[in-house]
Amino acid sequence: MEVLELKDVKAVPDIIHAYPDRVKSEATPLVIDNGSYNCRVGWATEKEPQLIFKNLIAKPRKERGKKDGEPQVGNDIANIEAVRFQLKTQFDRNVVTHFEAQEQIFDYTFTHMGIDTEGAVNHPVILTEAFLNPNYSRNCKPENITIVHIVVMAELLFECYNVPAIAYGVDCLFSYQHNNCPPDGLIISIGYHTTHIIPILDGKADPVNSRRINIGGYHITSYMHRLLEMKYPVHVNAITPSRAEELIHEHSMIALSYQEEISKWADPDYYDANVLRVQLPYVAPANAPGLTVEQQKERKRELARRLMEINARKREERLAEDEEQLNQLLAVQDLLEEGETDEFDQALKTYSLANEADLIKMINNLQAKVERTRQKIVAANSQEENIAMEEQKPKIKSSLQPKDQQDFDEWIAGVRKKRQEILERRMAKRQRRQDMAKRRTAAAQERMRIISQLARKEKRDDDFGMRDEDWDVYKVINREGGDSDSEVEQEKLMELEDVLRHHDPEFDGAGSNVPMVPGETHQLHVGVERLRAPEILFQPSMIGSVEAGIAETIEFILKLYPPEQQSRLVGNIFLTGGPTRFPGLLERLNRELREMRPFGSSFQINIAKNTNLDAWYGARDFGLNGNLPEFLVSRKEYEEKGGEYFKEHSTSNTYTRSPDPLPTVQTPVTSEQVIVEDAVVDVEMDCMVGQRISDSYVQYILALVVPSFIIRIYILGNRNHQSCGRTVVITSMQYVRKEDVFNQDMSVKTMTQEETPLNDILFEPFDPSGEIKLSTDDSTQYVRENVILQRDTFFTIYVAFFEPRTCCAKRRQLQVAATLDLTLPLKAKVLLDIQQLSAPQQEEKKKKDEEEEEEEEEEEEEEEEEGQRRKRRELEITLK
Amino acid sequence: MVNEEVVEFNKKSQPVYKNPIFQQKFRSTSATGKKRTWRSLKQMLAQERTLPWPAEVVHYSSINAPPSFRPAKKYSDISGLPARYTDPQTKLYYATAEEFATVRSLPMDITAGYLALRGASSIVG
Repeated sequence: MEVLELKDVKAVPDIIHAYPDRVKSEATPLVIDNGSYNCRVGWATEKEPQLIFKNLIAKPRKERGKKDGEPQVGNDIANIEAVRFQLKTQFDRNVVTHFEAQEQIFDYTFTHMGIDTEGAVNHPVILTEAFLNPNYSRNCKPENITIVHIVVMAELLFECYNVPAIAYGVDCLFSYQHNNCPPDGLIISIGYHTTHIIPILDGKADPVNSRRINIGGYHITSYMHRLLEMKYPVHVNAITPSRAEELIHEHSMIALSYQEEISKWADPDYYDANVLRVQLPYVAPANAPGLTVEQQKERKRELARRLMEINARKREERLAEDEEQLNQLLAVQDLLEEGETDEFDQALKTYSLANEADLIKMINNLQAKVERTRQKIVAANSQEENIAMEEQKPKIKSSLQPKDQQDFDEWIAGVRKKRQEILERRMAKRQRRQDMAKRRTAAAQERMRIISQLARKEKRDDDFGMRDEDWDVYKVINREGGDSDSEVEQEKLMELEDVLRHHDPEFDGAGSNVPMVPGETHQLHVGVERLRAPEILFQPSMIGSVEAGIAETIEFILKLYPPEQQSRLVGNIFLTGGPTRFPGLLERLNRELREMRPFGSSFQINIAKNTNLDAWYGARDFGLNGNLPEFLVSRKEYEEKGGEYFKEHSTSNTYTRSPDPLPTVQTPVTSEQVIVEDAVVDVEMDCMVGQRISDSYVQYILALVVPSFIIRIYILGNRNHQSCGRTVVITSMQYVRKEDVFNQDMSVKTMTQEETPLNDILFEPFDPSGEIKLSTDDSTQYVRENVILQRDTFFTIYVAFFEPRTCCAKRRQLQVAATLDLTLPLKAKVLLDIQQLSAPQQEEKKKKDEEEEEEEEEEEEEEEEEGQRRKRRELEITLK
Repeated sequence: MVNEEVVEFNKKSQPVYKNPIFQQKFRSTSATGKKRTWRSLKQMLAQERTLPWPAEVVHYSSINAPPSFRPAKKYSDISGLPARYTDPQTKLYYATAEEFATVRSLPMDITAGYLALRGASSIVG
């Protein structure tokens, strides 16, 4: 049985490299592959990157009375687990977002590269970035956002480090280039946070049909970590993310056929043969406290014996003392008898006695005492003998033990049976307890039946409690299932198991698994997990992600191309990125592709020569390339064109200048817009998704799924009801784009004033206070219109009604109506639910008609028609 | 007095190649004294979306992987073996009867942990 020792590799702090003069004078480009796991840095003229470190910063916690400790970066962190909770990274997924951290990383980088020039880093920087890196991450124009100082990558490099020029590139494209791949291919790049699948046609990446799966090495590692943590809750502190990482890096693989492979593990023999036993560090337990019961007993007996001996000795001493005194006193008495009164008196004085009577009394006392002590000694001796006798008793018993094999077997079977009975009783009890916890089980019902029977009052003959058995009913109805005697049971069980352990060779019950090998309890069995963790690349559903796995995404992408291009793409499938080193990945992809490609067609899967470093090598090649100056963004260009600007090359992203944000939403000119259909949605509060937040405040959510629309919100009062006097506030409007719902990025964007111009428009016409008082006049209306939302938007309006105290929630009759105007350019048609229009709504309709006089008459008729239908129609969207 | 010290301290720890003025601008706090916060990727993407991009531009958020069209396979939460059963009480998947006994004996935090790991802990889903 092989046991794997964890290596627990410690990071070696990076040295500060020398700053070669040649590099300094020639302004050699500095190549930085800024990955979300490792950062690799080196001069373009070097063969290998000089620095490779984890892109992490450990910021020591502030302690009172101490100055801020220096943050540790990358390989300076000797023990990453010690600072696990203070780790920071500049990355959010695969995009740099936290530039303060990035600055510290750059400080570390430049310092360790030995740069010592005053006031500037005089080297062009070649930096890798995420595929389709958002422009904001490079830079964003100040007028776009509210923060005054915007520092992003370009600004950081140009203004903080005075770098002369920058070139950006995408890591996997660099790697592709470095491996001299043909102009057509399909890149599968698995990173630390994301997996990219990028089709390359004619040497150019096709971003439109690329896809990114948000799963990478990080997810695999943390999945492994959590699995082990939950499998061994005892060792939760010893199972660290870095150990999980080691297991992933060194001992995990991808199954060729996952289903088949894992079903093998169900077989215990296979499990035993293949499971990886990982030894966690442990401290061998000291031997001293490990006394057996027998030894403890022995020790106790020893102590008792010693105590008795001490007592006996004391008694004997006292006896001797008393006898001595008695003798002396007797001698004194003799003196009196002999008639030597003088001496007698003197002697009496020394004993401080008054007269002869006292002397006699004292002698008698002493004699009695001596007698008593003697008796005690005798008693003690006989007791000792008794103990010895008791010790002999078990021996006699053991001599009664089985004489032949058959007896022995019977006895063992009996003991075994007894044990089994106890176990079964216990199981039944546990089961009952569980059942009791739920209402609809037989046990719980039985309990209720008994209780109700007990509760029934029969005054006539209430003799409950007369018999002892009556009290057992409490055991039955006790939710705990009458556990009072379990201690006794436990003791009995222990005893039986003890006997079995001694005498039964087949016994391997609980408690017998005393570790044979030291530290066996500190071993982790890593079996299926080795396959299970990396499998999330192919089945993200295992960690609850709805995204498609690698194979499915490849299939999805290939289907976006005509067959001829498909075969060009699969002719060169190129794997790069750290996790592609998993053993079995290549074979698995081969299998998956064979399944999805037409029968007999050919494909080729290649893997980068060095999956980790080829991106850096590629970037270095790029830096050595004579064309480099063409692709560098100089400081001047940065100042002219903004930080987001970069020059495109074959291994870069495509540059699109961020458009200016819409100043305000243009009010659509009516003449230009042809209304396809006008619909009124009036939603009665009762049938809405409502959420009662407090008594005086009810919030309603109106969700619509519509293509681009102009929304008008009417809030109507109704004189017949108690709506008058209430205050209505549109508290907020939120929208979620349909794409987001699809991508499970369900973050609801609340439109705040800064973020979107929509809200201004929405709120502006209302009272400055934002409140609407409904009057008795039923025509109270608040009309908001001309809000343009993007197509396919879930639109949510939160409306709060502040009701007068007297009004109960059920009787609210307020109505919110939204009118949707559809614009032609989107060629959308919306049929919305039209309900029987109540009087105020018809008034509203009239008003609206007045407003829209310029609109064609036909539509108005249509509207009327719809109103008359007085039927609820289902919301239906047809997009041409 | 205190401010001066801080500045001095910063200067001392500054590498020579850095622009000293930049630092103040970079670390500046807003008028309210709050530290400047960085936008998360999510906020960045949301901001990016509000801009009127030309139709053909591809964004970070537009290359998200498609949702899986295949039904998710069920694996035992404990052993990872293909699971045929679900424990109605804890909602964990399990493969065999022994596993069921284990599932039932697991404490709450572990069962909740397994569910969270599988992304099944939300009340809605």
